[in-house]
Amino acid sequence: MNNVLTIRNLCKNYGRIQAVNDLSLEIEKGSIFGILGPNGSGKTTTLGLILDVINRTRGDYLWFEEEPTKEQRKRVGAILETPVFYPYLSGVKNLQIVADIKEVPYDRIDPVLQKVGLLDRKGDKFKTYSLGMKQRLAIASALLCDPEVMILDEPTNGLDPQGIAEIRDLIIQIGNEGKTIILASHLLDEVQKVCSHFAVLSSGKMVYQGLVEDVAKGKNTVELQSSDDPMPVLELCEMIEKVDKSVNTYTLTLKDDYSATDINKYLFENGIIASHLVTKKKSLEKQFLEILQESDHA
Amino acid sequence: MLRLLKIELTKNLNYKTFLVLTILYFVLMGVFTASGGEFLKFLKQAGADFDGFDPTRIPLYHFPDIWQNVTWLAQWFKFILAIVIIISITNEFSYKTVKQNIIDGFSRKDFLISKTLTIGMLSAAATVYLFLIILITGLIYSDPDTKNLSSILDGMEFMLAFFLNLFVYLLWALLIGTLIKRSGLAIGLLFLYNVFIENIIRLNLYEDYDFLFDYTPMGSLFEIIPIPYFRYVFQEIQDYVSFYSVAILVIYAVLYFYLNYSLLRKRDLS
Repeated sequence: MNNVLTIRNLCKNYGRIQAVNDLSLEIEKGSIFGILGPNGSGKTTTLGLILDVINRTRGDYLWFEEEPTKEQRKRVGAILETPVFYPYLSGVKNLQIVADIKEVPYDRIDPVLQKVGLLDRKGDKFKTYSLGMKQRLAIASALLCDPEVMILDEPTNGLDPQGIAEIRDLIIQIGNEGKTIILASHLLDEVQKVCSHFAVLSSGKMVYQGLVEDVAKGKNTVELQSSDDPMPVLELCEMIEKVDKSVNTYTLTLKDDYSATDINKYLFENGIIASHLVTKKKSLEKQFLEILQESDHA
Repeated sequence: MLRLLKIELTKNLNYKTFLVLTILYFVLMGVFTASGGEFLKFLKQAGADFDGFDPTRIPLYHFPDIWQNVTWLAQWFKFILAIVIIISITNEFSYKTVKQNIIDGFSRKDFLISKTLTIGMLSAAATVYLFLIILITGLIYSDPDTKNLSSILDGMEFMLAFFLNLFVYLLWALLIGTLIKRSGLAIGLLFLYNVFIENIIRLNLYEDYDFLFDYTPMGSLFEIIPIPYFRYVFQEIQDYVSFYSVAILVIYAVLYFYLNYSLLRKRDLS
């Protein structure tokens, strides 16, 4: 009952090219859902389909567990690809158009401009804005209706590191307010930092779906430094699958279900004092590349 | 409805090209339609002579002739507004704002209705404006014996003809804009069709088929306001608006809207 979006067997063909191929997906209320995939994997097409700007070939989708209508889109704040506004209109006039389309009162405009830090430039024409400002105006526009769901497609594209950090903080802040966020990106680091769930698309097919926190599960990797030589002890340890040594740092790949705590205890009991012991989180990037490789072989 | 119109007004009234061309339309049409009486005086002064006939005695601006005379002249300025409409629709495609409008919560029908309302409003404004021009110039130039209510009211149906003529033509321009998506090409095609395509087909068909051109997109527009001026050289003209020509234009209005809608509905706005 808590699904914000349900996609069932969605397909989109452009001639013989299958941009989206039998995609099924459920997104729960309150999650921050990352859609990953290399360029051309069908992320933007999928978002276009569920926002009714692209006509589907087959399959269906539900918003808030109902057949899609324009009224539901009024409850969704979405930006696809580059920010799209009337270049000759000021920021505030552009938002007035959005407010009128979504049937939201104009007094929402100043607060959202404040939130993205554009209030003092609101009277300037959109075409005079920098890329970062355009991106922030797009987020302001998506926030205008106090949306239950936000859809962001590559929101940090083309931004400088400071801009990326700002947008990321904004997304986390919005997510903390309990809104559902659907974030399409090829920046894995970004998705790992903000998302709770993720799916991976490749050539229009979904090849993986899961929780971001699960990425770190499974085999742990631990970095170890010690003034003593731990090698003889490590070689005898049953918890360790593999040891890589580089200068004075040992990288231990642990067997399933063992953690740094177990290693620490073991080392201590065997008279080795660690000066540096860190669990290396498995990165989404690594996982992502593995998933894509597997799907290519499949 | 009002909301859709308001959105269009925000888009258009802050757009310089829209304002400049629209004002140009009203100024040019106003100047040309209002100055006919003075033009006849000028002809007289310049010594124009129609076999000894005083040009100022041609009842161009007399009720009830004035309605047909002036609306026929005024319809020629509609090309300027057609350019305005084409720019307004093709901009939405080149800026991709039509896509964003739909993402934000428009249906494709809402979008089309909002454009059609703009066309309706422009046509209504032009009609009211021309009505006032005709009424004022008519009262200035008419002979005293034609300044009575029945003469003034007689022929006022040409205002309806003028409105329909403009409205349907602008819907046609909107359709071409949706079809072509690029302003330059769309304006080119509009012009080409207007001036050449229908006429070339007409010239290459037997005269027996001439009646068909009462029903073509451009032919039907000419049909609703017949050329009035031949009556001053003692030829018989149709000095009323025929029900058939009104009906044909209404059908065209519905057809253009429907075609436009199916184009938009089938298109992927990516």
